[in-house]
Amino acid sequence: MTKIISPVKSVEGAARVSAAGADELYVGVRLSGLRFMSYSGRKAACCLNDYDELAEACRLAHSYGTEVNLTANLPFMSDLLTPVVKSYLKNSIAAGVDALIIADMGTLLLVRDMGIDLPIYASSYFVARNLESIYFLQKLGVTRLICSPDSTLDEIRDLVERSPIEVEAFVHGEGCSNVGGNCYLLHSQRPKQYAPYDDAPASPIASQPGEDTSLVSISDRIPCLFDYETHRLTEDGEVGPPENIPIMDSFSFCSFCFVHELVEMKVGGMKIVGRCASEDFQERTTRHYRQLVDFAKARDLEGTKEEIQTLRRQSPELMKLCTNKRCYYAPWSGAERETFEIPFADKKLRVLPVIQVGAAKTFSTVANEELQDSRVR
Amino acid sequence: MDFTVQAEHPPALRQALQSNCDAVRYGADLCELKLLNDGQMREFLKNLNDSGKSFGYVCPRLPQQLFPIVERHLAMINDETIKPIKVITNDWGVLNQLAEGKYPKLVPYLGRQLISIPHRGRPSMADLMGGESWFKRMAVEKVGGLIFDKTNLHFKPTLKFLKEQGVRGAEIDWVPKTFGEMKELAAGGFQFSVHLGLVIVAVVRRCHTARYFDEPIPHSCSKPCFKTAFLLKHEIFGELYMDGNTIFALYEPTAKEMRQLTASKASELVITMGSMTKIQTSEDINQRIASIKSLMKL
Repeated sequence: MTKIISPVKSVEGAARVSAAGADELYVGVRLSGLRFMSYSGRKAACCLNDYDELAEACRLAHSYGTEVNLTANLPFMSDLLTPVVKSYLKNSIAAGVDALIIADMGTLLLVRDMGIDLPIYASSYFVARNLESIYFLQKLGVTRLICSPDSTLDEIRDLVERSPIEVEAFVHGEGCSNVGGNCYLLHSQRPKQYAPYDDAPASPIASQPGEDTSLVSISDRIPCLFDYETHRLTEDGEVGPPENIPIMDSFSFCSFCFVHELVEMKVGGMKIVGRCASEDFQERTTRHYRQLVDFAKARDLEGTKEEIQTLRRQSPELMKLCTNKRCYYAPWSGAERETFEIPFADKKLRVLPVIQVGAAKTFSTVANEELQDSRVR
Repeated sequence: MDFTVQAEHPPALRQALQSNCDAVRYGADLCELKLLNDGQMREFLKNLNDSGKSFGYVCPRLPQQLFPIVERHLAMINDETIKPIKVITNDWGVLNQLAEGKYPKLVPYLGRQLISIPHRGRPSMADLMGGESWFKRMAVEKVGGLIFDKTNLHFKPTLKFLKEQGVRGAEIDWVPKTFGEMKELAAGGFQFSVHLGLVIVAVVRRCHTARYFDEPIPHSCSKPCFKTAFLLKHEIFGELYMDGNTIFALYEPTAKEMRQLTASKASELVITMGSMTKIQTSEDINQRIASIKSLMKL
C-alpha cells in the first residue's frame, strides 16, 4: 500500500493532516532551552514545543489511524550529544511515537544499544541509492529506506522491485537542489545584530507569536534559489565577467502528475516536505495527495486529470511550478527536459520563458520568491 | 605526512605520476558521471606495482545502475595489486562489500561525503548558536570540548563499528578547528587525510555545471568541469567556488594551520587538480608541494 506521509510542526497540524488523510505524519520536538537548533533536522521553530504536545499529537493521530514518525534525523552524532539524544528518544517513545527516522550511523547504533523495538526508517540523508547500501543499513536495523529526493523514477522503481525493505519517495515541497546531509548552506535566520540585517523584519518562520524576534528573515528563503554573482574560471585561471543567476537552482517541488506512476510501482510511501510550512499548507497538500492516490488506486486517470487541472486553476503558485517544470520527476536537463511535456496539460497552460545561461535553458527564475512564500502561507 | 594527488582522469593521472608527490588517488569522489572506464582503469593498473608511489582508488556515491562498474574496478585492482590498496569510498554499499571481505587486498577509508563537520556551515553555525543556553556552554565555553569542532567520528560506538568493518581511516576538509580533534582518533590508530585548502559546502546530483552547459545528465556528460570552474559571490555566503557538481569554500593555508595539521598527525595531505585549484601539471603539483613544505618550516 502506498502511504501518504505528511509533515507536522504543531498539535493542530497533527489533527489537520490526520483528518485530511495522512497515513503517517512525521514530526520533531524542541530540545529544552534551544531556540534555534533541534535534533530533528530542522530548526526548533519547526518542531512541537515539548513531549506533552507530542503525546497529544500521537493521541489525535492514532484516533484517525495515522502513525507518528519521530524525526531524530540530524545527520551528526558525537559523544557530547549522547545524553541529549538518549533523552530525546526515550521521551518521544514514552509519548507514543510509532517509528523513528534516523540520519546518522551513530544514532542508529545508539538506538540499537538502547534496545528500542520500533521500526527504523533511514533518512534520505543516508543517500542510499543502491541495493548494497540498503543491505548495509538493513544490518543496522533499518526497516525502510527514504530515497534521496534527487532519485529518478526509474531508480525508485528499480529499488522498490529489488529492495528487501520498504522504499519511500519524496513527492512535494522543498525538493532541495543539493544532496541531503551534504548541504552546509544554512537555511538559517540571520541574527538581527548582524549588519546589514539589523533593520530587517522578524522571521515569520523562526518567530512564533510572542517569541523572540531577534532572528530576521533574510535567509528564510532557500539558499539554492538565490541569485549568485557568477564568474566562469578558465583552465588558465582567468576570471570571466559577472552574471547574476540562480546557478545553484535545480529545485523541484511537486509530483502531482506522477502519483499514479508511483502508486503503480508500489512505492511504500510518498513524503510531503514542509515541517516549517504552515498548517494550512500541510493539510492542503495532504488532502490533494490523498485524492490523487485514491484515484490512482482506482486506476481513474480521468479523475486524476480533472483533479490536477482544477488544482492548477485554483492555485496560481502551482501553475507557476508547472510552467517552470519544477517537477520532482521531470528530466533534469538537455533536450529531454526542453521537450518534456507537462502531464495533464490543458490549453491554458503555457511554459514560461526561462533565462538562457550558457548553453542551458534550465535556469528558470520566475516565481522563486512566490514559490517559497507559498510554504509559509 | 604524505603528499597525495587526487587525479580524476588519465591526463591528470599522468601529470601526477610525473610529479614529486608521494601517492596518487585515482577517481572522482563527488560525481558518479566521472566514473572511469575500463581502459582508463587499465592505465592506472599498469602503474600499480612499479611506479614507486602509493595508490588509492576513489569512488563517489553510486546509483544502482552504476554500481557494477565500481564492482568491476574493485575486482580489477584486487587481482592486479601485490600490496594493499586504499579505497576511499563515499558510498555505504561499497563499504558493505569491502567489509564483507570480497576484495581482501583493498582497505576501506571513508570519503569526505560520509563525514559530517558542523564547521562546514555557511554562515558559521557557531556564530548563529552563540546565544543558545546549554549549547552555548558546549559551543563557546568548552565544557566537554567544542561540539562544532567535532566530526561524526567523535562518537565512540561509530568509531568502534567502523573499525569492525575494517575501516582504517577517513578524510576531512580543510577545517583547522577540527585538526586538533582528529589527533585523538589518530592516536587510536585511525588514520585521516585532509584536503588541502578545500571545504565542501554543498554537493548536488542535478549538477549545476552540467545544466549550465546543457549536458544531458544523468544519462551522459562530456564533463566540461574538467576545463571550467566558477567563482560565486553572495552577501550571506561570501566567496564560494563551484567545481562540477560541488560548491567549495577555498582557503590558502597559513603557517599556523600547517603546524596545527602536523601536530594532529594527519597521514595525508590531498592536493586536488583542476581549474579551481589551478593545479594542472606536474610542475604545478611540485610547486604546490614545495610551497606547503616551506610553510611547514616557518
